[in-house]
Amino acid sequence: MPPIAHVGHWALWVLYAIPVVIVLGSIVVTIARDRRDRRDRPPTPDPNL
Amino acid sequence: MDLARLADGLVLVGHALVGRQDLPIPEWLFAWGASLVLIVSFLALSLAWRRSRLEDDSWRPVSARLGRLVVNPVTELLAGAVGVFLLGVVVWSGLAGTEAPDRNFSITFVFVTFWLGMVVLSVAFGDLFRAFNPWRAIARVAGAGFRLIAGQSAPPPLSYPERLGRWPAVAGILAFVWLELIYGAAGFQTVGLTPHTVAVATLAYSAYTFVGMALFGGERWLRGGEAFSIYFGMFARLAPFEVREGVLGRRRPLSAATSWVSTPGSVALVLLTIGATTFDGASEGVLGDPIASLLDWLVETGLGPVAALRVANTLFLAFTLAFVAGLFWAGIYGMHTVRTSLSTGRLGALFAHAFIPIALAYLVAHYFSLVVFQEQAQFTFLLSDPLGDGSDYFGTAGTGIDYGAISANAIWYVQVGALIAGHVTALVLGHDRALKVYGDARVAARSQYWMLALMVGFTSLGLYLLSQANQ
Repeated sequence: MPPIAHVGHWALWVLYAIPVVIVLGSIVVTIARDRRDRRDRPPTPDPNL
Repeated sequence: MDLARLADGLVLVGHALVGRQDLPIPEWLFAWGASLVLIVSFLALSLAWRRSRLEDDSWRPVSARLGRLVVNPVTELLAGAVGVFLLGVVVWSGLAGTEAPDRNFSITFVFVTFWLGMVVLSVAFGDLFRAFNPWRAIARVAGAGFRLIAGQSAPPPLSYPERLGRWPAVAGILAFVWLELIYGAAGFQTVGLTPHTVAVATLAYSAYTFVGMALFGGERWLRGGEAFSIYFGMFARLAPFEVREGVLGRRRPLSAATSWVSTPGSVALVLLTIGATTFDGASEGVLGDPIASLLDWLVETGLGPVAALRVANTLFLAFTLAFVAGLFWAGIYGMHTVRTSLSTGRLGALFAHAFIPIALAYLVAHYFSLVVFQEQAQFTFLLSDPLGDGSDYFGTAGTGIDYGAISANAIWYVQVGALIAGHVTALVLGHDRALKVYGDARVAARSQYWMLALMVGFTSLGLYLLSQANQ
């Protein structure tokens, strides 16, 4: 099984990709939370009423 | 086909000359550390940098005496003469000197001293190349001669098409990169770039430049078509100095970059610079096996080995450029998570200047060791014996390169430092532009989430490529 045989070569990039994955994950979570907060926030009462 | 057969008779050269390091922590941990620095920098910018500081024109003339000392007709004439002289030496040594690339002045001068050294000088001192540009100097002398004889200036026969922008320069830089990385070399193998080829290419480019200047006017061609003026000018935008209408001034460092990407082709030039360095690094490491596999397949289909190598490398260069452009545009597209009326293309043009420091960081990280070692050759035996024929004009022809001048560890730390500094600078430029585009500091920070992801991605990619090239 060639991929397993060369695991030492191709597995290394995973270590370099981990920070990117963490940042991307954090961004997705942050954006989702922002959207949920905006949706759940009660509408601001009209000051003219 | 065995690659070793192809390597028969080839000259071994390396772009990133590094040895094995003895680092206290694994290389991949540097990528984690660098990412952490970027995240902290991003948070610090979001909290402390709340109004745009780099968008205004901050240029102010230096003292009149200093200005006149640096910029005057004598220094202009001298700089132009030096440029023309060096152009002549490149052609002369290329045509009349030895065919051994490492002993001929032309190859090291063009691909290291000029191509890489001028970038460093541009970032430090501003657009120095404009003063030393040999084609500009020759065109100015020709123009002055014409005015003397005819008694008037002749307007250029054609007006430069504005929609072309900097695209002719992009094509010129792509041709130069192809000559260096594909025609001449593949990873550590040089297959065809002889000093003679460099001299012929220099003459051909000179002719092309003079035709462009004659058709569209010297100054106009320098602003759109002359590849090296545009390329070094891009890096000069990071510098704290600028000459305007013959007056030397200083400005806030980085501030001039904000107005650079307003001409068509500019985004492509930044991405081409990053992509070409990425390919050069990757071909020495991570892309080595795929290129060899494609090369074998092309040879089996009947293509000659050298042609097959060039085709394989050209395809992988195109792939790398597309990959880098894809990353860039994905990051820019991500900015749409903040509501804006701006199109993706417009956002790309607005934020592309932030990638100039990344292009610089990639160049420094990848070529630092090459410059350190090859410049020893340039200013010793190549200067004293430019033709490689045994001359010794300055008594330094017997000097060699001291490969112990800098340790492998020191090279690695410079590479990591350059990548971190370049990407933090890019974050600063992106954040500052976002403050202007979005107005509100909180919205601006949110728009830059994806820019942060891009920066972390490019930093990790750069360190991964370097680690693979060091294997």
